[in-house]
Amino acid sequence: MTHNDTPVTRRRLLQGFGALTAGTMFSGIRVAFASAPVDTRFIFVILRGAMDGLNVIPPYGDSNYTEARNGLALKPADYAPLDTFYGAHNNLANFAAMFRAKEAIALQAAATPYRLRSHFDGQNVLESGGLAPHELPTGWLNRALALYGARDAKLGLAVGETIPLSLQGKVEVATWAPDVFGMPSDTMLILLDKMYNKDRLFEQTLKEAVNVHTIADQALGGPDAMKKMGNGGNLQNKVAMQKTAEAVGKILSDPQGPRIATMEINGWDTHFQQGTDKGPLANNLAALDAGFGALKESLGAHWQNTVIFAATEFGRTVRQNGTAGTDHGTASCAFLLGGAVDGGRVVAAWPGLGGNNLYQNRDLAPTTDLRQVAKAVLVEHLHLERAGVEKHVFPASADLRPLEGLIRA
Amino acid sequence: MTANKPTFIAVTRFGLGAAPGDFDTIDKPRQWLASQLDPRYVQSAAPQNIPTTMEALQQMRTNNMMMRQSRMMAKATGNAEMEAQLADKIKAKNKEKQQRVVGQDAAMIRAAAVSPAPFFERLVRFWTNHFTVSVTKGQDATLIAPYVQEAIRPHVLGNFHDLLRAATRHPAMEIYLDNQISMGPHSRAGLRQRKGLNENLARETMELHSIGVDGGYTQTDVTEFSEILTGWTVDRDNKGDGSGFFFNPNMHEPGDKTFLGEIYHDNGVHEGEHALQVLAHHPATGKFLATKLVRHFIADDPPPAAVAHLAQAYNAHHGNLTPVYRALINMKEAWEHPLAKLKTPDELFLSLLRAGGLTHKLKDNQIIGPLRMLGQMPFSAPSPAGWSDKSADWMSAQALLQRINIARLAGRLLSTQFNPSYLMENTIGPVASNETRRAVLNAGSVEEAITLLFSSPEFQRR
Repeated sequence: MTHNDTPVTRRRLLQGFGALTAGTMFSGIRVAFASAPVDTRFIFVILRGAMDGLNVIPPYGDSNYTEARNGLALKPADYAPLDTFYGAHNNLANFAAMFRAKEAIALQAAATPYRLRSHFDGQNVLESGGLAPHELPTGWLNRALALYGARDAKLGLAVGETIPLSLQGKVEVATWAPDVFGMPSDTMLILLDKMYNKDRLFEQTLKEAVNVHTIADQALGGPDAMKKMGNGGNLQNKVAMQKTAEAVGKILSDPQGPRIATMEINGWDTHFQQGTDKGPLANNLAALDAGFGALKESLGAHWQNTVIFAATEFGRTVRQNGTAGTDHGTASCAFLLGGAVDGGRVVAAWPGLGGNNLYQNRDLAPTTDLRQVAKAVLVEHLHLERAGVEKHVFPASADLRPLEGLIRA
Repeated sequence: MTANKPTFIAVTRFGLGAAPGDFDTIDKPRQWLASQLDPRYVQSAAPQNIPTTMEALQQMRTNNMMMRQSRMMAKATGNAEMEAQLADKIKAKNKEKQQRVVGQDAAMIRAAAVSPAPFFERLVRFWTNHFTVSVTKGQDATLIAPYVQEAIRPHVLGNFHDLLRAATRHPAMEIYLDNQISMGPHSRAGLRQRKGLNENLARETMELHSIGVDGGYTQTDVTEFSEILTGWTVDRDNKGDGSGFFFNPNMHEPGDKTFLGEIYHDNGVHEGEHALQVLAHHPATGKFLATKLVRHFIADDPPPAAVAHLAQAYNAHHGNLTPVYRALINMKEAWEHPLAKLKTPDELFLSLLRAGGLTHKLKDNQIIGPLRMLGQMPFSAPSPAGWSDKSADWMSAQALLQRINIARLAGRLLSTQFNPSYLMENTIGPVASNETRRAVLNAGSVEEAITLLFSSPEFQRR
């Protein structure tokens, strides 16, 4: 598409969003209106790094919660109760408000079929929709798009420089990303610092860089000042996430735009100094929540037809490890949000946190298969035939019932 | 995987970085390097669709003529609207030209990144930087790609004299170092226009291109050499031999000159030709070039024994460069300390393109953008000395952050294509530290793992 036939709405959006470039923004996201098979919207948010679900949707009603987490459990002041058993971390204020408005669901003790603990393999299963890593070469969302048949329009949008596996496959999809880099996340800086441990030049220079930026932050009036000035690329940054999500909402609102999008947020791999009310996990949640809020706002009237599904590859150990963090685990929580969600409930078959209840004596046991959620969205929200979904999208899942009642009738 | 340190050194220190599979296919690293000293790569691995020097000059001529005519018309009629149109026209032309240059620069980078002879390409880049031309002086950038193609590339494996001569004669150099405006004060043009010498080219040809600042010349030598070179200019009106060079006798200083102790009788263009012969075969030149080669390929502080060895090869082979490269790769110092030097941004970016197979996935602007971000926009070196070859000049807090940002970009682009462990083994496997291995293998996502891999000291060094 050339610049000249860019729809006015998107051109305006571009002008109001200086960080974006025309090249990435407009490449191929135009859809012929008449050919769009559904008027619903779906966003799959991939939470990479294994989110610690127990401190996101804390099962405070489980009498073993505080003891089992040995020092890492959220205190009552750190969460808002969602019901008499589960809460939501304070940094999920938008999510909690949507929950109360009955347009958000939290799922607990959910997992993919993958039972080992490699991030890459876990994400491969989450995104390919297979039973084992590398069993399927394409993504479940792309295979779902294929069920709509051949179209001259791009229904899928990958938010990012590249297409995640979940959207990879035969059907062509669009990509879009804000292209401004900010500082690497704190998590990344810590990892870099450790990696540079034996190389004096790199180690010293990185420290210097961090110092310089800290000073600049202070000079500009607080750590957010720099970020406000264009920390665009890193969705772990709250402002960047907010701006990006705003733009995504607008792109999906365009009648000629795509219908289905993926977003990715890194940094859930909290092996050290995870924190409770504050810390890397809390910061990531704040960014994610800002994204939820911005999507709702910018989708406007389309929010009523929207489902957002956010999931991670696996959870983390119930117990704290030796560096005030958690290691790779099994089940975690997931989110469903949107006007089309029949919300206000936590959906879980709670396995318990007592000694005998843990998976391999360390992890939250999985009782819900994330594919049950995805299948429900595909069938009830995106109006795809269940038989086709079970044949092409999630093969070998025929005996896995889509969860009922997630989507408004 | 049979990867070992010599293979790693051949591929990263002498080549342009590892592409997946390189470590498996290169089992005799020294032979692999020697096999690339083959003149067929001058053509076979060259970038496509680069205009010739004559074509570039012709285009400049056409543009200038059009502009001149429009300007005259606008002036003659005094028409404000016409003048505004002219301004728009100039703007559009400049934009079009800029885009053309970005395309050519990107084409050159792409060709190098996919070349089957990365050592040969490294040598092309080394000599291009040695004979730097730069857009920082507002020179016509459209001449630069033809300059590399015609003046540098064909002579990289030949005799240094031919390389020196081709670079010095080329319009890009004549313009960059001001020789096109240098006139003998007693030449016809000089007397008529009351203009005189510009010493820039003469000085830099000695100081930066041949005998070096310690080569034993005086200010008198600089002045006399400037006189010798007067009249060496650009073939603006298509009157020359088809190379882009034109000797204008009207600008040439008449009379005898004394340069480096030798008397040059009035002999037009032949004075300069002889002077370049003398400089190419001067003993100081061998030492100067040997020092630069050793600094580039081996260590920031060149070991004196290695320099002496290469200088000796240069002199023994009368300035033929291929035997010098052979001596370089046969030296034991060349195979020690695998991570002694920091990659320049250019080297870093090329190695990223190779590692990730990204060469043809990026648009022209996405090829040039990162280099701008990293502070090494093609052909914009801050001085005629070219880009620094010392690690310290490429490291700072912001520079490191930008390097990490480029790694983040690559991490995003590649996260769905690569297994980080595979990519690590295939790029830095033979030298990866425990710290780097741990960081890459334990990262929270493929994107982060690849970001860490490309940010690692082992990937950032060579």
